[in-house]
Amino acid sequence: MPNINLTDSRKRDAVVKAESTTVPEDIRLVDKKGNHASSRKILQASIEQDYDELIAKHKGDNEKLALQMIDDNPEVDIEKCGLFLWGVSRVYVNSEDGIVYRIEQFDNVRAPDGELRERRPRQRAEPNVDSDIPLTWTGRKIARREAATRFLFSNKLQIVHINGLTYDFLYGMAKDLAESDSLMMVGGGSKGREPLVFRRGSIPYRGFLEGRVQDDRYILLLHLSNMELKLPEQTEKDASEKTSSSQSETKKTTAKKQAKAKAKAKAKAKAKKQPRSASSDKPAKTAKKKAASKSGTTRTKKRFSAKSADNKPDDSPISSEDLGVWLKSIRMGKYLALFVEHEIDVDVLPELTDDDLKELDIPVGSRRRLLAAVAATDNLRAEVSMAVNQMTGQRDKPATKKTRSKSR
Amino acid sequence: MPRELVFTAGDTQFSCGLNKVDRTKLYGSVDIETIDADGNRCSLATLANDGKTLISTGGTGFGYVTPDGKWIERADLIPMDLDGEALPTLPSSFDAPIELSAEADLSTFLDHSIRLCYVLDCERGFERALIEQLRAGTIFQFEFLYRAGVSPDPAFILADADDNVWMLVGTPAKIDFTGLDQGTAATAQADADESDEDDFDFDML
Repeated sequence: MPNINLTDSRKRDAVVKAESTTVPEDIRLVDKKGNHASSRKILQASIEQDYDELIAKHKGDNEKLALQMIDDNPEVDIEKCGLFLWGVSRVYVNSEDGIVYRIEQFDNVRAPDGELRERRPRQRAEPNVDSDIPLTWTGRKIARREAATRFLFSNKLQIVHINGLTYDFLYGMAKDLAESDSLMMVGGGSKGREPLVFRRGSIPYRGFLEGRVQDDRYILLLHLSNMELKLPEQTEKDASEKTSSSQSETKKTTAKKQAKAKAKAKAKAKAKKQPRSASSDKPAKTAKKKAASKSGTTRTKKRFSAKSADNKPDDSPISSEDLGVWLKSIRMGKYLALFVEHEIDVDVLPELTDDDLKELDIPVGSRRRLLAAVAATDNLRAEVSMAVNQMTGQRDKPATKKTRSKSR
Repeated sequence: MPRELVFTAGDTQFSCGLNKVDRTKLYGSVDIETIDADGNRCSLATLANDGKTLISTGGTGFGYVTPDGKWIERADLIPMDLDGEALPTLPSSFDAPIELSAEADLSTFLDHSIRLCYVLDCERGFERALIEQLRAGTIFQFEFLYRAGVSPDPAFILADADDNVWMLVGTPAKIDFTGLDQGTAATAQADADESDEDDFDFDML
């Protein structure tokens, strides 16, 4: 583990060592003579001996394949089976088993029931734990007992000092936590709200710091959790449905409808408040766009108008990915994760004030840029949709060219 | 019918089903789709060190060799501890009642990294006395083996604020009190041990 930077309650920070707590394997496998056996990775079957490959050769006829397996052992390559493997590489292959050198990846985000929730370009969390970025002392403490029954701690690191100064620093921290019989939440960012990411693309964790002291010795543990100790929604639903199901559903629907109506009324009132010059500019721009799309002067605009008419009416849900596209278009893409974390969507964004953004630790330049971009539009949803469709249009271009050349 | 664990607490015996709870069940999951330049789906494969043999998922395995490079079957190997004592094969925890007598304090519980999480489902309901005990903060500890084997895992039974009874299976963590002198030595060791980085390679979602 690399060194990490930790802040204490007095906002002093120090670089300390985070050590793995993994216990080494304590079982050995020996042969009858007491010789220590080691395990080796071996090749069982190459891609040509794969079931998919073999069944394709027999045009899907399992019976024929079975008979051939009995007679000729096509699933075993005598030359290769059992070879020791080392220095292997991971590669992507296409359906013809050819290595692919240029790939594009997407995240298919699925709900607990397996339903596809969102498809987005692959996102990899950036690391935020190292010796340069201090982890903030949040002061948010949770009783040890409560923490143990609320979170599942799947990993932990022991924080140790690297010199006399950091010994005092960590001992004080451990003592403080031990006396309060609490674990303290630790996170990235200036307010410690971001989950901890140790390596690019690795699982983000919530961190909890625990301290123990014994005479002049201490233990400072960073417990890592990416899961709460709670029942899955379905199990909870099953339990609650037995008692009251229909009533709560009606209440929920009514509340949703009320919230929607409220949001619409707010948007209307805001539109009325817009200064004349701004509001008079917008319809002209929209009219221009409409005219352009009707006449088909540009491919992108045509595609946008068709999509927005067919697929994305104004009330259609705007995903966080869509919002991310728009944020990128105003050079604010890096704040998407922060907005998602704080449940800021396309409807909430126009309501944000400078103070709200300050609270999210967004620097002044970005705050001004965001507020100006929001103020410049009277329909953020449409702006977001446009940004998304423009991006989709650009992405589609090569495919269109290919289709053309094929048709020729 | 799923297998049940039988527990003994004092004079009473009860059986429970295990319902595994994981991240996917709570929050969903993310699967990565890879496409080539033409939009066709790609799959991950292994390229052997000869630079031409491709191996698809499931095409590799593990085998055992003696120090002189001879192949040896797993069944012919004897598991031993570090002192050279042969380890006996223990039965699966499903095959005999588990006695809930040993209690773990909170620090002992927190000294473990939890790997598996099950909510216990007792058809006839838990004994009131047991629930009261768990509600008061008791954590039971026992050795758990899903299948017969030589290395049982420490397991804990505790109740959450909603009186759900959980069985958590973990591994002990290597944690020691550190004094002024020990920190410096630990630093030197950790510098040499770069392989610990792999502990955080959990990119499996």
